[in-house]
Amino acid sequence: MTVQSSVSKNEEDVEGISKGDALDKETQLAKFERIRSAIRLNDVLALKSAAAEPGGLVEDTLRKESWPLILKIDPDLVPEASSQEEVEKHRYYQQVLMDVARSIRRFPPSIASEKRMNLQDKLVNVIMRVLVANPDLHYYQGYHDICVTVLLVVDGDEDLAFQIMNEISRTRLRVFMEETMKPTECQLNYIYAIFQAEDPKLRKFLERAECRVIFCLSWCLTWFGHDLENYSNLVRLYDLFLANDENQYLLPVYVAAAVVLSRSKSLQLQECSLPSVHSYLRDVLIDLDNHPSELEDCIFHAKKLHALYPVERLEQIEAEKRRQDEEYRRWRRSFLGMTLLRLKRVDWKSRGLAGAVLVLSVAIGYQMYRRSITSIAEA
Amino acid sequence: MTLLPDNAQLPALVHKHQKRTFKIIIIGDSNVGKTCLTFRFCAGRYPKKTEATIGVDFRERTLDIDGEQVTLQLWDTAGQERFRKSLVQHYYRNVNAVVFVYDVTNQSSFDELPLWIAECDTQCPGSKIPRILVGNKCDLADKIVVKTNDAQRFADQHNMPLFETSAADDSRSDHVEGIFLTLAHKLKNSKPMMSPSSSSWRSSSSEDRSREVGLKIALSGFRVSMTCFDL
Repeated sequence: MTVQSSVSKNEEDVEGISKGDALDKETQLAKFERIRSAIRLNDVLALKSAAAEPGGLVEDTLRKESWPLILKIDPDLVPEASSQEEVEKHRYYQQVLMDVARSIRRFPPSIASEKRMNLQDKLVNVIMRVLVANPDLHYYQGYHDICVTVLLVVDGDEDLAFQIMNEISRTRLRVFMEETMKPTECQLNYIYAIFQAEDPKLRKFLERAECRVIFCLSWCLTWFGHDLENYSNLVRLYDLFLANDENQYLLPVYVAAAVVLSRSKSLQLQECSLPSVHSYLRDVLIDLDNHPSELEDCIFHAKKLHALYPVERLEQIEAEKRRQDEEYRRWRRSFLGMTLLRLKRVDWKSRGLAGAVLVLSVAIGYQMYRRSITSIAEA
Repeated sequence: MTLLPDNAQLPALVHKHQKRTFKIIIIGDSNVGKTCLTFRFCAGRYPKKTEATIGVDFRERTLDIDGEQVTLQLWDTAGQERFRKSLVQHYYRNVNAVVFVYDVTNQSSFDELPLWIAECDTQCPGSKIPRILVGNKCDLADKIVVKTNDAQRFADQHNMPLFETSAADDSRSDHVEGIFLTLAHKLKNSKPMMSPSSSSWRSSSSEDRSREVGLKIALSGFRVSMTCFDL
């Protein structure tokens, strides 16, 4: 086993005992065997369900064999490498070089610098091969964060990493790799529909802070690779995202939603501004990273949200919200609405005063009316 | 003047009393050192491991300037064009100052500046928002390709002060500090009439006038301090 895999394994050894919901040693061993036999039998369904369960696919040696099966990749079908000339003149080559050079944090600290540099070279190759093979896909900063995780899991096997990245870039990541970020924003915007269904106050708060999707941008674009430090947590999430049915690419959004929902109350006590929301949620993720059982709870919640609100349901929710907003706008434009809204802006003192005057004048009016009635009757 | 390092975690209550927050965006090509500059100023050191910024990051630091608490809220933006295009309105809304950064060892990061400035002009048309130009990575002396003369000419053309510095060089940490302190003074003296939490300008005309006057005074002070900080 390689340096990085053993690092991850050690981490799991330490955490396995303390994790509340995560696997204890025995079940981990049983799961290991279960995955082994699923790999032997090429039982993709069993692999997918194991990947989505707590603890995911347990360890990198199993992932390296399971991921290609889940993605229906033939590891023996070695693809052709792109020519160096083609790579160097590619429009994203310089950007990729810069981002990979700054990816040192993503490698295990124990790794020898020579080996790390070698992996960084492979990382550039993997990214460029995908970009050359798919001219319609555009590189984005953060894509390298996903590639580096895959490369570490497959133990630096460049061809296999390319095959995996090639597959997920064409499917799960395609929306992020369009020419502009508009489709990405549309996709991430579904998080607001989830909040609308689960916690409308939270949605209002985030809208008031003008957050748009910036608070979960790096989470989703990098599949949390940019934000989670703990390698075992990260690959566990990758298991989940890969196990996800290939027509449902939204799982990172559901996980992001579950993370925010888990701290909704305390988030709403923060200052209502993007910088404050952004730094608060960054700390939340660091906290979850340090408490894998809580992260596992979030994943569990995310899967529940995913089952409750499939994309079609989210679209319905959004359509309903738009209809309500439109109704509210119409009401606001009406005379009654305008008056009530203006009243809303008046402070309590003046409201009380106005109320008292109103009650007094009604009382006086009523008295005058009664007197006039009685005087008419007497006459 | 005393400096109070702030770890961006001050309770919101403090914001409500006597504390003005200025929004400053840091703009420039990928890999010019925007994150390192803001990190140097806010955390007082060079980050151990740097990485690409995804979307935007926020750092802030509160300074005590002449008895007033002033918070500089730095919006550290991603350099890649796709992020810029999608988030650009967010960056410029209610901004109080813009810092353009280029890499003195990378000619193209300097050549791209007119595009950044044009974008800023489109987003804040006719505004008098203070702008400064920072050439970073001066510690790489043998790799410098952007000449100070050219940069100075460009800065003069666009009516902004130029600072050449290095976020990596510990001996110049005072210099990075100085750049942001100058900016903080300039912003504080320009008396922007903004609420502590929303950081938006009020639009009453008399306040606008006082702001302009304040800016002019601040600008004259700025030129002086600029010569102090210029290398």
